[in-house]
Amino acid sequence: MLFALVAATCASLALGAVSIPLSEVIDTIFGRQVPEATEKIIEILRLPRTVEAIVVGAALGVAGACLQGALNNPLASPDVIGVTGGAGFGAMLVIVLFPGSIAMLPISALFFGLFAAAMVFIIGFTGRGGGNITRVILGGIAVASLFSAGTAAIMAAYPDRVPNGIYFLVGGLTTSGWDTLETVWPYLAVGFILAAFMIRPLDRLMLGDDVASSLGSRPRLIRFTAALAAAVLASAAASIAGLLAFLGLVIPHLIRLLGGTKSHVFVMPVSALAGAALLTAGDTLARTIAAPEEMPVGPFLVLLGVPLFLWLLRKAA
Amino acid sequence: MHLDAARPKPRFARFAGVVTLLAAVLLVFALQAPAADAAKNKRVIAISPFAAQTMIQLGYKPYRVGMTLGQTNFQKRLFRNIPKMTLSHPNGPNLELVAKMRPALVLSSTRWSQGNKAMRRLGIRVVVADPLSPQAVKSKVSLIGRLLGRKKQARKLNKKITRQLNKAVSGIKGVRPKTLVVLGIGTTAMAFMKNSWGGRLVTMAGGNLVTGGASAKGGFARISDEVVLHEDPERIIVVPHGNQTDLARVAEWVRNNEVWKSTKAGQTGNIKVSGDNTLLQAGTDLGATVRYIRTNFLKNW
Repeated sequence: MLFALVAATCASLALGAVSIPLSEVIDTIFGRQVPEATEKIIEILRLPRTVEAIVVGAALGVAGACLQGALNNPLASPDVIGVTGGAGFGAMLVIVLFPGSIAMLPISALFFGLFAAAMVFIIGFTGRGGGNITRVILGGIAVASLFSAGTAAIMAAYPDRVPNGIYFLVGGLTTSGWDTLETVWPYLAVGFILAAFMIRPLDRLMLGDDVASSLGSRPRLIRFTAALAAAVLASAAASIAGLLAFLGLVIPHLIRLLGGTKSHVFVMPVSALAGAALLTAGDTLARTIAAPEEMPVGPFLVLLGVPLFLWLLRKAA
Repeated sequence: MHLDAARPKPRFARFAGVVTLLAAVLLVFALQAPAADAAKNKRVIAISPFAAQTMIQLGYKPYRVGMTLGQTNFQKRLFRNIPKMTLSHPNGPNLELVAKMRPALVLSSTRWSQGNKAMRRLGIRVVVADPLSPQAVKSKVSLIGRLLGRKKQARKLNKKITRQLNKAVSGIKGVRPKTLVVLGIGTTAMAFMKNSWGGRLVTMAGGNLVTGGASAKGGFARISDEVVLHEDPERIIVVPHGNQTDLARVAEWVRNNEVWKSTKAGQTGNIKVSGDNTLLQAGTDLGATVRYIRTNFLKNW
């Protein structure tokens, strides 16, 4: 998987709408003298975008693994805890209703993603019977529906402003340089650290709540913390690249099927690598297939990921 | 001796020829007039702003003017005394409201094709009268003139459009500045292609689109920023959506765009924001729009 990521990264840096010899790409990275246009394209566009693809892919892979482990549900993805719906609403709110505040788009997507997740956590983890998996999932579906309805209402009211938001909704990396990453990196860091601390507890949770409790774990706290890590990672990812929840759903399954193990010690880091590799490869394809036009990466991920996933599913069966 | 010859002729008989001639003239006018008179009383709804603008210039007040929610600034003065009709549905107008108004004619655009079909199913006459290019403006003006019984006024308007446009494009010489025209303000802005309304106008005004001869369905495409950097445009024109109050902040945001500010346009202060919809929405003011582009954006006036 590491090899796939390195290959995807090299392709992402070397390929684009403008043809640049590989030697010039390498020279730019190592700070040697290259034509000014080449330097700008690599430094302002391809390098930050490749880093974004790696970070977002890894975040979504880890978020999916965390959620599927915490909720013990194979269908769990950032959609289920409302993050996708919330982030989409936050983005469309700025793009369509408050275009003057467009610089706030990542913040708005992040805020509403986390807000939606907080609503789900309050419904799912508090009060009598809090922490019940079914309650969390149903609460998540309800909250996601609420925000999706809000997004749809905004889009229906302002159809002429929708095209600018479509890229966000179908998922696509942009060329905003390092700006968005500079804003959301603390959230990504917190999410990754929390997720790393959840690897062992999630493995214990797989043995069942009773066994986990007898081993000194607190299942409700583990579920909450893992879901929180997933929410933070998925919201931060959505604020950078729009709605790419498909990665969070499919990548952990792919890794389990490929590796033949459900242990989070394996699934979590390899999901990060696989998510990063798939998104980086998908984005390179989206940028180059119809150049100079750019396609959104979301549909490409589905085209790349689904056949592989279905093949593995059939093989495993 | 013939008795009749001796009988004196009635007095009016002396004017019979004149009366017959007058009656014939009146009959001709009477036969000609109904179309215009009936048209005067017709309820004609203009869903497209172009149709509304044309109608007003032909001296025919639209019964309603269709406006999308974000379009309140478009032709604000021209449309000030005309009731507005919100277009915020894939159909365009609310079909029940349109049916209740019992319009004789709805002048629409291809954009609302779904609603056009639905209105026709309701027995309403719908004519698509929105030009897709500046070259088609005059034929659409003629069409609207014909439909409203204002052919003469339409001819006059067409002559005016031609005169103003010829004046506006005169004197374009020298190197045409490389120009990127961008729609909207999302994180992934769309470029105007050569087959878009604004793209054609900018070309007419002496601009050289960085997208070259490329066209796209609908006239807009997401263009790679690598191409923008590589082509290094000398002018960047942004056509945002939003309210007038948002423009200053939108302008600041686009001027700080990481990619654009390193282009020639960015370094020479030629990233400009269009304050109205004239590059996006068809209108009859072709000459004024071309002059506006030349003066404010291309600086070749």
